[in-house]
Amino acid sequence: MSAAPAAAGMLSVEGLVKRFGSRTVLNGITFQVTPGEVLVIIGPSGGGKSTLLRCVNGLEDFSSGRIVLDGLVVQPSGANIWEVRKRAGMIFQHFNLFPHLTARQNIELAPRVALRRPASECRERAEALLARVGLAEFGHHYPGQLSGGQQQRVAIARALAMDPKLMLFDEPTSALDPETVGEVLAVMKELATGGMTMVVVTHELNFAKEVGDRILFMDAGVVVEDGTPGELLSQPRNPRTRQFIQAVL
Amino acid sequence: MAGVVPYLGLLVKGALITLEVSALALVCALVIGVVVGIVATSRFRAAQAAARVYVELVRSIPLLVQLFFAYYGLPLMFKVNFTPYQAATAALALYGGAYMVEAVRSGIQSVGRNQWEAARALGIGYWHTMTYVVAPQAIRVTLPAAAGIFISLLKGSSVASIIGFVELLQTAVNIRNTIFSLSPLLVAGILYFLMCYGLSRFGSRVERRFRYGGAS
Repeated sequence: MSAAPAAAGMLSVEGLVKRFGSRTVLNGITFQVTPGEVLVIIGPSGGGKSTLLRCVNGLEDFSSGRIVLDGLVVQPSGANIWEVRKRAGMIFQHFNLFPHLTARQNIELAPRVALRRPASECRERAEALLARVGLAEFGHHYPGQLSGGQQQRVAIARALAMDPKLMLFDEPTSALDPETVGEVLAVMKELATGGMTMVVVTHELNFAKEVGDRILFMDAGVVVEDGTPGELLSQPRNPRTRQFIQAVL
Repeated sequence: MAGVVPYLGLLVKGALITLEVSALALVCALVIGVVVGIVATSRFRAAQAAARVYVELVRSIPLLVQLFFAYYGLPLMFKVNFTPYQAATAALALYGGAYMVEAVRSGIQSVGRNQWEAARALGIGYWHTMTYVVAPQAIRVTLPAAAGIFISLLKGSSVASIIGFVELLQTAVNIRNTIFSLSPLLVAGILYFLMCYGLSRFGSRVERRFRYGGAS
């Protein structure tokens, strides 16, 4: 993607400021994501990465700045916030599946009640999505009967059922056993290859290098450095970035 | 002891009236509990406070006093006349309602914030989230409490004998006054026990049905 004007982007964040009381969590964040791009956000815990994602789909209010998602101006209490949420799928660190519903019911629910699609159509779609994330046989399992990696894959299928234009991943593998991290990253990689626009907050630098088109390094509420994986991971310009990458690798 | 035998039918009829009034009060209490419970967990401060006042007031005043209020007070205030049956039902409904509000509130609050966020992130609105995500999980906490409330309504309905409402206890007292024996009260006690024990067994069976697979 060549330098597209902001209006053509999938996501544009300009001068985003978020304060909790007297604490400034995000202090003027600006970046763009073009359609099909995979943006990976890295940085130390408490640097505002999760808060940033939560502002994008209106789970969190922000103090000032501007977010435009697929042409919609995001305002947490605005009339179009539900439209924003339908266009932005979100994956949580702790999956947040609905424990009283089976994997398949978890996937069917939102299209059925929020998009009012017919039950049979939702069911077929759920089966297809389960197959896509490698869980075709697990539709009737409850979340409590699945491993962490399987639950996170169900969560990805659940988000995809809404046909989002953009997927937000909030540390999707941080709560997983090491042996199930790979299966979740593989699904995410497959999504990226399929052309999904993604914003991924993660500590998995290998994933960032392999799948990311661009990496943002965030610390203390600001974007410290922004570049391609090659630039940012191999030759970080900023000493803070260098220090972080050396510590994580 | 044998003197009570001819009156057994009457006592069973009294038990059925007790059951009927308690069940009617429970249904009203459930409606009150769900509506006020949802209000109590909403983010409207004034409504929250009003729910709080209702719950605290009803829980701090003895049921007997509330019953007197329903039977003697309300007719004075609103120029309506309640039969003992209506007054008993109304008092029990308001009484059970306050406890039900708490049962519904703690049920709703037992469902973590992450469930609301997951639903919101999927574009599912408040009422749909309440219906399909929160309520089915809240019910596991609310239902056992509701069974307990039904039992206390059943026992509490005996207080209504004081305003001349002929339910199980008053039936037993009337029979005792005829045959001059305590046995009708003993039978009444057994009938109360059977009803309450049956309800609590039924309650735990329903509770089991609402469990779902696995942990978490």
